[in-house]
Formats: sequence, C-alpha cells, structure tokens
Amino acid sequence: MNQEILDKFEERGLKIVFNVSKDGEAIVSKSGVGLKSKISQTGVVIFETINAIGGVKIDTIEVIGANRGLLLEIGEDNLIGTLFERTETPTFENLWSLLREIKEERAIGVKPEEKPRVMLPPDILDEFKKVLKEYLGDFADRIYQNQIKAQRINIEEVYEEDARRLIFALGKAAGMIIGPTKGKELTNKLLGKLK
Amino acid sequence: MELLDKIPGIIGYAVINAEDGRIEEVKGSSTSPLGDLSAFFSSAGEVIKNALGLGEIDYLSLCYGAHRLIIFLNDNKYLGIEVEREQKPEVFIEKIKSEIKPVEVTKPVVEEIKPPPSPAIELPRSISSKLLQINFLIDEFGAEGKKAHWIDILNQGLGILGGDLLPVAGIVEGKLSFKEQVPPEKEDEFVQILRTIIDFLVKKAVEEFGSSQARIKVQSVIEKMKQV
Repeated sequence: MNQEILDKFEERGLKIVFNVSKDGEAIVSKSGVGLKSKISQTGVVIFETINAIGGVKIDTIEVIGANRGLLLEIGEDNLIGTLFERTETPTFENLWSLLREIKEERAIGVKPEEKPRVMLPPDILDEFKKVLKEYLGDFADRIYQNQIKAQRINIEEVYEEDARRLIFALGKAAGMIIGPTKGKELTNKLLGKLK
Repeated sequence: MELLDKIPGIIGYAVINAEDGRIEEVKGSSTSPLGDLSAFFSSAGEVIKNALGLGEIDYLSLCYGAHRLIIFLNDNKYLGIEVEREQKPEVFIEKIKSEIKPVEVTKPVVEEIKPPPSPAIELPRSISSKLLQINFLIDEFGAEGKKAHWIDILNQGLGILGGDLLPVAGIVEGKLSFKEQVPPEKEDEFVQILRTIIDFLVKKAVEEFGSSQARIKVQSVIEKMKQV
C-alpha cells in the first residue's frame, strides 16, 4: 500500500484515509499526516484488542463519536480506515464502498512473494458434509447450513482460509452436541481433507 | 435488562459496568463471547476517542461472520447487542433506547393514559405445539432447581441450530417465546429447527440422566402435551 493510492482516494471523497499494519506502521493520506502517530496508536489498540479476545474474525469496525467517525476494514495483517467529520459525512455506505475499493486495489498490488490465496476443489464442501454426517447424524445438515451462513462462505468459490475458518466453527458447534473430544476429532478429520 | 429479551432482532447481549469494565450479564443464544467483546471494545473505544478526538461515543459496531455487535452507553452501562449483520446500528439503538427509556414523571396526571397493549403474537399451531413441547421439556429436565442449567443448554442448542430463528425467538421470562409474528414462508423451516432443538434436548437428557430416566421424563412431557 502506498501513499499515492491513499491520496487518490482522499480526492474521491475519503477525508483522511490510512493503512496501518499489525505492528503499527501507518501510511496516512495527506490531510491526516498530522495525526499519523495517533492513527498508528489506534491501529495497535485495535489489533491488540482483537488478539486479546481471539477466535472471532472481526472484519469491519465502526467507532462513531459526536464529532468524528472512524470506519475500519480489518485484514489479517493490516487495517484500512477512514476518519471523517460527522458534519460533512456522505452516507456510510459510500465510505465503505471506497474503503473496499482500496482493499481490492491493494490486493491487485500484492507483492509476488506474498502467499497467494488457494482455491479448493468444488467438491470439498461435499466431503465436509460426509464427515459431518458420520459424526453428527441428523444434526449434520442444520449445523452445516448454519455455519455456512454464519461464516459467510461463498459455496461457489471456497478458498483455503475460508475452509479453515469453517472447519473450526463446525468443530466448535459439533462439540456442543458430541462433546469437545469428538468435536476436536471431527475438526482434525476435516482439516485432513485439506491436504 | 430483561426488557432486551423481548425485543425482536436481538440474538444475544452483554451488559458491562462502564465504571470498572466488569461484565455484569450475558444473555441469549449467541455463540460468540459477547461479554469479552463488549468489555474489551468499549474500553478500546475510550482510548480511540481520546486519541482521535471523536467526541462522546455514539456507538461502536463490529461485524464478524453474519453478525454485528453494537456497543453503546446507556445509563452508566455499556450494552453490547448482537444482531444480524444487515441491521443498521443507529436504527437499532433508537429502537432499543425507546423501549428501555424510563417513564418520565410529568405534571399531575388528570387522567391516566395507558399505552395501547402490544399486539398478541399468534403462532401457527405447528409452531406453538413445538414451542410448548420445548418448554415442557425444560420444566421437566430442569425440575429440582436445575432450570437455569437447562435454559443454558437450550441457549446452546439455539446458538448452533437456530439459524434464522434466532432474531425472532428467544428466552423470555424463562420460556422459549417468539418475539414477533412468524412470516408464513418461514413456518416450515422454523418447525424443522424446533424439531431439531427437541432432538438436541433429548440427546442432552440421555447424557445427563441416562436413557431410562430420560425416557420417563420425555414420556411425562408427552402426557402433559395430550392434556393441553
């Protein structure tokens, strides 16, 4: 992510726009340069809070104050955000849509050494269902449907990271029915399907 | 905060003491750690507010999976309320604040004006009978002072099996209840979900009481159902 991209989006309507990496390194568009250290501190607070809780994949955060608002798109290693005055706010939907564009633009500009996303074969979810049926019997379908929805899995294109998230969610839910030991066994069996 | 139990759309909620960050209450059928999320993020919100000059916080909203957690201050307590992701925070907060607003004492009342009674929820028979069965099962399994434990089990079951049922149904005053009318197109799905919840409760009863005791308790519920 470079300053140029952020400045470009500032011109398109994002008041102050920034990218903060997990270790607190911040790149801020030109209007927000004076706030760079505060923005960096905010990024660190967000990542530390998410880490402290663990196990919940938070993807967006809004912090809305009386004077200013903050919208954040949370990634694995960085967050992209905008800080705006409440008085001159376009709709939040517009701001979110611009933030997502930045995220996509960043994805296009991913450095070659970064790990590419791995798409899994289309029948992987059927494999999961078979294993679930084996462990959960009649509960399998409902647990599966609920977790597909809860984890927002796109069943047309399943990437490895999504599949892993789904597996852990299925294992946790299954554990409430068949007990934690069997739930863990199920998780491992599903993880084995990724190999 | 029992009032929150009755508001449609709420999947679960946490109440946090704003003074010391203590988790005072967590209720509902969410499978996420609402107490920790609300406590940690309300505290993080304070730090961010001061760092970036946001002014008094109206709300924080976190999205994860298909859910949204809305955190806001109400009467010296942070409320963290889990709803479906599509819900608009401002609209929901207004709705909640208007529901929990204390009645203002005004000038001497000449004539007491009572609010119109909220419309009764009419459920299709297929749903009401399953609901009744679940509540009878909870009473039967939870006899001898174990009701709270079985309510917890019911909430667990709702959390993992409830799906679209969650925003419209929940535990109100110790009973599984619907908080709003069932859309006709959802009736069959909800019946299926409730049936699965019954199977879940019976499975848990077998684990807890053994199969013969569980069978006796289930039989007792069947007898009660016949008398209704």
